Amino acid sequence: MKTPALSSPLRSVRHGKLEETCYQARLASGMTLRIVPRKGHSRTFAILATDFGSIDRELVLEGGDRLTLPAGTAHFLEHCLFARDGEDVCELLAERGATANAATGFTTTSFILSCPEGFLENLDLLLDFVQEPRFAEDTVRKEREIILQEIGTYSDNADWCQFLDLLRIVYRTHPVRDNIAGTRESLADITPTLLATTHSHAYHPARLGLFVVGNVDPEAVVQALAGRSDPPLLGLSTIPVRGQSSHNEEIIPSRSEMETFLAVAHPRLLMAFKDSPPSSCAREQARREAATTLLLDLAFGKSSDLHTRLYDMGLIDDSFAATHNADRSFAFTVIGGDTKDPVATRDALLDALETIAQEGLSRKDFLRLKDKTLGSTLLAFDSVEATAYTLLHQHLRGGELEDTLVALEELELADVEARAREHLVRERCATSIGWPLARRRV
Amino acid sequence: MVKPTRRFKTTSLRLLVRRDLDEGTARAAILPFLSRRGSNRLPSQQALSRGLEELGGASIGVDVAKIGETQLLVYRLDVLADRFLAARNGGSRLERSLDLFLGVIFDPASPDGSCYPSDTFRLERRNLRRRVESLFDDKTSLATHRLLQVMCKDEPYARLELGTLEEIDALDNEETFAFRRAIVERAPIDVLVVGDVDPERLFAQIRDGSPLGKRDQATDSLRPVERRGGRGGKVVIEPVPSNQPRIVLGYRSTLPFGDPLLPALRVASSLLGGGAHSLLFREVRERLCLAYSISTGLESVKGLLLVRAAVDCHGVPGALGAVKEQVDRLKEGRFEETSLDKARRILVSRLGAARDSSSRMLDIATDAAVTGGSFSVEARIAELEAVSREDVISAARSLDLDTVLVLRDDRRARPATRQTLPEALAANLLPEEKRR
Repeated sequence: MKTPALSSPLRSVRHGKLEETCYQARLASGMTLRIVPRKGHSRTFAILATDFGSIDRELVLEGGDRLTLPAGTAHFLEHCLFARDGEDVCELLAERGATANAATGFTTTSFILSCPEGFLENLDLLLDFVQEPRFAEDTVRKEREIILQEIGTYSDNADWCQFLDLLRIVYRTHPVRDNIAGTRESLADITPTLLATTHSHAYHPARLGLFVVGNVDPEAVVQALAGRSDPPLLGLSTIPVRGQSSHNEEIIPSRSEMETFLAVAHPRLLMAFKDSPPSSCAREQARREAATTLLLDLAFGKSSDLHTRLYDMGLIDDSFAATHNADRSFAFTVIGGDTKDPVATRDALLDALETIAQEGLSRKDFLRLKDKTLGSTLLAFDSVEATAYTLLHQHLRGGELEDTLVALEELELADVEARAREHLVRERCATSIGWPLARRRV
Repeated sequence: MVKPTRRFKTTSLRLLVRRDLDEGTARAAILPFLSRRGSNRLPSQQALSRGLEELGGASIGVDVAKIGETQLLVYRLDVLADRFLAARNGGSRLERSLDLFLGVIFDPASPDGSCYPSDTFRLERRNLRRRVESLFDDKTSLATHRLLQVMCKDEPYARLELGTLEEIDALDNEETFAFRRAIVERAPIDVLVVGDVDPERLFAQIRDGSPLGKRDQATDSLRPVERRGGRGGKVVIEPVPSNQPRIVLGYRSTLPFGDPLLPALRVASSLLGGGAHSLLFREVRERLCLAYSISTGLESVKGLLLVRAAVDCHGVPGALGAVKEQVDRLKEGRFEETSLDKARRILVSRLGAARDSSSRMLDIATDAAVTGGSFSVEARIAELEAVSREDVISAARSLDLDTVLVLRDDRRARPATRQTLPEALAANLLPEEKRR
């Protein structure tokens, strides 16, 4: 998040092309607010988020000392915030017809609230739990058991396991290579005291943001939050500083290939292209992402010659996909899916990318896919959830709701071609091939 | 059903084909996937994709589903409302997209009007096979599928909506093409629309652009669904490589289809395992710490309630015992009024949220079209709100345990208790059978 120095009053930004208005404010506590009202909707959806996720593995204490956090600390904290003194916030909210959930990502932890009525009261309750936790020994022990079960459940998810394995050869030191939930060993090192210390840093109001979409009056939300007496945060007088000493590393993957065995029916190819970290300028980053989106679609999308050829050869199927991830201190593109011949598919993809880098792309295809992407960007705003997540992500990088749309409109073919030459190159690629452990009859 | 509204940026349309689950299941299942390969006007997947991209990213999606013993072929069209971004080549984006959509369903690419292009057919037959094989990848879905195969062995419901591998391998191009014609002429077909549309113009375009306006014979009537009682908890062990066993308990409800207690059964399912407020979540996850997730799923047409969880090896007997105990609590009415209230409120709240999404509105309309339930969210909410404590107990008492499936890795099986796993299961589950 940007330096939250001063509070700012509620202001509205009209995004005419989206038919949306976004209200923004920063409270005296430092907490950020972004709201997109939807009149006539039957519920309100909110994300309460902190910009603290699994890759935050170091706290800079007030004296300047650094405290290293075990893998899985952010996720463990998320689990503990839902339960307090034997009460569970989900249950209390359910009594009011509200549903809640939580998720820990690489760079954020988010708490989700969805309710048909009584939004302000429900929000108040959620904030109580998130901001005033208790880390009782027995709660912590119990949540550790549940997280171990969760790790076990995910260990049967072949997509997730192969993705994590791949990140481990793409990155050398960056903590994005560690499992979000941690390991049995790292969880053993997470104590109530450590959780409390981490909480005072990670959930400092200046790091919190509230992103709301639905039937809600922005002014009323500001009033309600301003009236809350937020707890003093355990001796923290200044905004916590982030420790990211392990995040800088070179752009070539640490290894270019790995093979693994998975309990799946067909071989799987997963390729990652390591990218330089995102730009700190929101507009610039929006342009870079727009160029990447178009590039992936032009190179690998359903209407591309490459997709047509590989699909017709039976090398790829519907599971084939390409996505770009860019967040705070890392960025990469992942491409892959089920394939009968992972090596032939990888070689075909790399060859095609080399051809694009040398010969460029077709302007006609570019214009057509630009129209498509503009359309699908607009369509995404029909989803209340997707709109709220866009508010969150744009806030984290200091941008606006409309940035993606504007970047797409301004995008030129040359930007996409430059991106192909810079990003999707052989030296920056790491490949994981997953072979079926055993084939079984279904 | 057409719901004209300007609340959404998307106009969403679904065309549903309904048919009985039978030996023709694979032959029907391949049709939507062949549709995606283009129409006679845009005779390839690439040409079709380009056509859609020109229309502001309109998308055509297909799906094959099963509701009760009905196989459902689903064709979806989503298009940006005409009031956004002027279309590059003029004209109405909706009308042009609908034209493409009707083309791929009713005029699929064919070299001579009697079959699909042979390469395309072979490839999609192979891809359908791979889709079925990939069921193996998701252990919870696999466990559910295996349970249904055992539990509903001689009933149509045991069929996978995509067909069996044998049926898929036996598919013939000409036969499939002819079969598609028969479906277009006779199968019940519904069109559901939500968005910024003029219903009259839409109807006219569908009438003129498809054979639906010229159907002269009555549509096929579908077979009534088969309902049976439970068989007391037969335990099946399914050896599959995995790190964490999956358990699925299959219960049958003896309530007949269309019974007025059906909304109460929904509330019972929510109370038992419908989220963080539920009895199973509180007991199995929060108190016993045996599972990260445990939940129920209700198939209301067939009258099946499934309880699913991923549990550690040593936790399997404990989790099975806990499920049985919580179901008993439900049947005996040993639950608090507040728990019941939460279960009902959550269902009402989720249902109400459907009004904020065109795709969720279409999900409800799809369910209504297939099950004969109400298209109205308000009516469905009213049904749930009218459910009393006694209704929930009666609905819960209609549940009989039929079959239990434990999917686990033989190589990792380690007896954490002195009992073998089947013995432990028997100790927890068979008393109920003896009681009956």
